Amino acid sequence: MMVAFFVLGMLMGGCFQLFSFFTGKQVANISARFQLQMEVRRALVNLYGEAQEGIEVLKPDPGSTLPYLVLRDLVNDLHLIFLRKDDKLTEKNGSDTFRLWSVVYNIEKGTCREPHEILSGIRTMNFTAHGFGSVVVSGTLQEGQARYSFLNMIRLKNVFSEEGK
Amino acid sequence: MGLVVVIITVLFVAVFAILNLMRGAGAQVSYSDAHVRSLAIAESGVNLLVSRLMDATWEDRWFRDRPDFHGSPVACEGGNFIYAIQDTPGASFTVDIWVRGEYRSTRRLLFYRVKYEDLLFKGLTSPGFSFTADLPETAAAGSLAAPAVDSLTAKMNDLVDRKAQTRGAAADRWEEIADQVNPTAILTTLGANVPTAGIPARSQAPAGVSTAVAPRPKEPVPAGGRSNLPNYDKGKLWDWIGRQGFDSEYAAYLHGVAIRNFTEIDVKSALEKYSQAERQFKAFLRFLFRHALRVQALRTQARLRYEAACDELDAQAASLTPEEYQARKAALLSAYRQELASIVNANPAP
Repeated sequence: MMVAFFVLGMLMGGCFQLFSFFTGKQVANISARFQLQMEVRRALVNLYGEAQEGIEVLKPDPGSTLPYLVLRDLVNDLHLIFLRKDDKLTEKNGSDTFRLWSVVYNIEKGTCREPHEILSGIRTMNFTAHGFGSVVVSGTLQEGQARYSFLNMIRLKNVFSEEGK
Repeated sequence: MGLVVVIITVLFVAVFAILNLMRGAGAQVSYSDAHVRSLAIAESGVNLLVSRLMDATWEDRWFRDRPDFHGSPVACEGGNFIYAIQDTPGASFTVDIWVRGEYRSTRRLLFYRVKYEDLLFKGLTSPGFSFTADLPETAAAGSLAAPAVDSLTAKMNDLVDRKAQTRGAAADRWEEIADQVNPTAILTTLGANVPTAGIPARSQAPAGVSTAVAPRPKEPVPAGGRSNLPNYDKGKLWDWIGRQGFDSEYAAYLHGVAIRNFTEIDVKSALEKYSQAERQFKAFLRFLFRHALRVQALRTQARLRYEAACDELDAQAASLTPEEYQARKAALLSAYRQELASIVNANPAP
């Protein structure tokens, strides 16, 4: 009985090793991409939270693309969303890798709040403005050899709030 | 036998650990998904309410007599929403809409202050949202009924007031950094406590493609996509003053005020002090549209009272000596002139 179980266990182990050998890379790649996709979705929710109540995009100027975004929110506070190089991840990935940060300038107090991180593992990220009321966010995330690109547009909902005043 | 038990135990633990990890990852995706869905549901609710609002005349709005606090969930896109809609307290032709979207356990509460448009097409295609806010999940927990909505409305009014108060400061601050093209310089100017090394100022691009960005030319600060200064049309304002039926004396006063303001606005624009110019232009417009007509109405009432007093005096003229008549008429004129001056002085021009 024990011998039978032992043989069965060895067979199962062998099969698992073979399965891992042939599918390991793909599975790892899919897992990494899935992880990146989750990160992007989470970050986009945060980005929406930062930007969607805004009154106007101050930078990039309409028609241009920049790796940072400046906008005026619903109470005129200035939000600066920018990339900063992450030395550890750059070394690990072998190419420039950034983290996305946000700083809010409180216009009433004249001071900046502490910066907070929105996303990490960014290979490239750009903000494109076609007007003052929306911004297109594009980027690529990298985790080891896996990459995941995304494209999204954020419309500022308070863009018409000052018309006619 | 022991080995079998060990193998089975290890397999069981491994499977349990994998399932647990997958559940953790899945929970994050579910949260993001639910967040976006609840937002979309709330937005759908707002659009439905705006469509219904614009569909009828202002007098026929369904919540004219009392606010509509709709607490029973309306099914939408796999979730539901509840809403509250009422006239904006203290404002005319303006409506406050609160919609709470819910998808599974995630809730989002949206606030929209909407200016009623008496044009069906414009009202539906480009509704006049004068202020919107997306409230955190904690604020979305309560009901959308009278005391809660009043409290939330007070909070929104505070935000609207804060926005109005800080508009000038934002324009001034932005003028200082508008021509910066480097985020490091912007961070430094704003006094942010951030290490400034390794912050890219240009987008990455293939070799041979330049992503250099020229400094932004100094120009009027856009407000909501556009500035008031492009609307600075002296000809139109002269025309408007001429068409309002101001009495000749007050019209002459307004002309003097307009010339002074136009000169100062032109000087400030020439010196690239656009936010100051815009503020002065706004103040002048506010004076013209809010005060000048009211001043004229007060002046007209004073004139009517003066004319009535003169008529009464004329009726009594037969019983008065010419000197008494002249003296009383002069006194009436003097009082009338003083009243006119006090009306104008009480509403000084910027």
